[in-house]
Amino acid sequence: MPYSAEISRANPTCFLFLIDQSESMNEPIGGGEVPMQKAEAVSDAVNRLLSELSIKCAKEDGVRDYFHVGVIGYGAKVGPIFDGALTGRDLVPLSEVAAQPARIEQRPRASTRGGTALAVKVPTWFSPVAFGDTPMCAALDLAHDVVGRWLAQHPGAFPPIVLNITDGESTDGNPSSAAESLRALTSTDGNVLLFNLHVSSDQSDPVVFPSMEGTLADDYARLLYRMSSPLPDDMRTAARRHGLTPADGAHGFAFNADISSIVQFLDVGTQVMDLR
Amino acid sequence: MRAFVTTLWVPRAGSSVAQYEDAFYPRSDGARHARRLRFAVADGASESMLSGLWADLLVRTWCKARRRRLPQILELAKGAWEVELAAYLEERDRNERPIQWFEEPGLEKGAFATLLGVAFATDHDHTGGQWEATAVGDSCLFQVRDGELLSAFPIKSSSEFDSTPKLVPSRTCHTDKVLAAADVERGEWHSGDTFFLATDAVAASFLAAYESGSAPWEALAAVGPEAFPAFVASLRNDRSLRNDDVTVMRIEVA
Repeated sequence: MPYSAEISRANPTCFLFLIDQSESMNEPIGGGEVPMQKAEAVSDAVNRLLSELSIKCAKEDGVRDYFHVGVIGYGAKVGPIFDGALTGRDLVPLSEVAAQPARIEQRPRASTRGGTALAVKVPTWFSPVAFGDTPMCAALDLAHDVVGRWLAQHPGAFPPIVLNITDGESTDGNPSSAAESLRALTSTDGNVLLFNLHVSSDQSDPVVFPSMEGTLADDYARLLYRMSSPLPDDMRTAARRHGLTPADGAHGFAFNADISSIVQFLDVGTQVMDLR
Repeated sequence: MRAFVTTLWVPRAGSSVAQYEDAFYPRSDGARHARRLRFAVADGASESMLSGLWADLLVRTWCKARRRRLPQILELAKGAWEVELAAYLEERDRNERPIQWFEEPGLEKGAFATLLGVAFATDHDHTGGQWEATAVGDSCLFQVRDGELLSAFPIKSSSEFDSTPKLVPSRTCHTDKVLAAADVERGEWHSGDTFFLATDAVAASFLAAYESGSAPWEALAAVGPEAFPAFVASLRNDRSLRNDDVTVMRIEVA
């Protein structure tokens, strides 16, 4: 059965984030209490996810390398966007990610004990950028190279998950065939999973994990839908735990996502079953 | 009563003995004689810090608490946890290994583990008696008599196992919720019965084999600690045992 490989230190999987850094990511996003730029909302959500993954995999003998993770940006440039000691690296074992955030901020948080404000440490690995076009084809091609190389070293892995987060149309051509080539990469446990998350400035309701393209608003949404892999069964189950109701055949795609649906989407996309 | 105890255990494949997060008590195999005897196994949750230590504190506290009930046992174990945690933090400090940002939330939240404890009492005629088992989560007790499975507790079917068992937390004030999550079962033991206390992976495999008409207790009664790693490896190989820490305490009563 595909998508059932054990995820362990001996047999890790990987997550690769592709983040649109084009000019329009400067615009505000819907859904949050405080107005926020799309670029900032996405950067916050992905940095938080890297932090949560590190905490989830931390044991007394260190952070366990169940995952290798990478973040590629596409805008004025296309390439890995880790800052600090990880600059220039694509897929990095989680223990190294945890050990080398670019910055750790101390933010106050409300205390439950006696009103003393305790600090919480907030690590970040990259900063929001919004400048240039939307070279999505080039980003998908780079993802193909990076994931292809990783699969050559990890042929039995739970298939890599690529999460493409964008707010606009590709400016370097139709990304369908680049997406298809990426999804065609396989491990012995199944094809690479490509999920697409469209973030929106408008206030219309998000569509998360649709199962039919006919219900989508326009050609562009339908294109992203077709580019997205169907959700494996375990991820559909995870989505239901988040209160979503993906039908059979639902795709790993969200359209017009607001802040809360970005977080929900990332949680489901990265919630990987049994860690060993 | 007399109980002959053998504990079979092995870490998950790919982990060292130091990374084994199940726990059992008593730690040593062999015969025990007393009117009342207590045994326990526990399974530390993979996604918490120091969960093997917490599992170990739970089984020790359960077994040493004699006639105490679960609420008192939890309070004692939580007290012991704070002492152990302080010692751990001090040791890290002394070894110049400061706590990292990614460890802080887990240490603050505390550790989690399942717990299965059983207490035996002997009748006046010494040919049998009662047992009472308490479980939080999916570590299981099986009672076998004359080649038949007499009791399975708290889980009765292999389909009931999932990845979110009930757990005992080391650091929460909500003891009421833990107590509400606890299952209790009582039964009688006869001389010649065998009890198995098993953590989830092997308990699930045990029940699945039983449901398909096998008598999984036969192999577990025959295998010794030395042959157990190879026994587990072959079950894992043919996918009838999930790769997890494995613990089975075999208790033959007389």
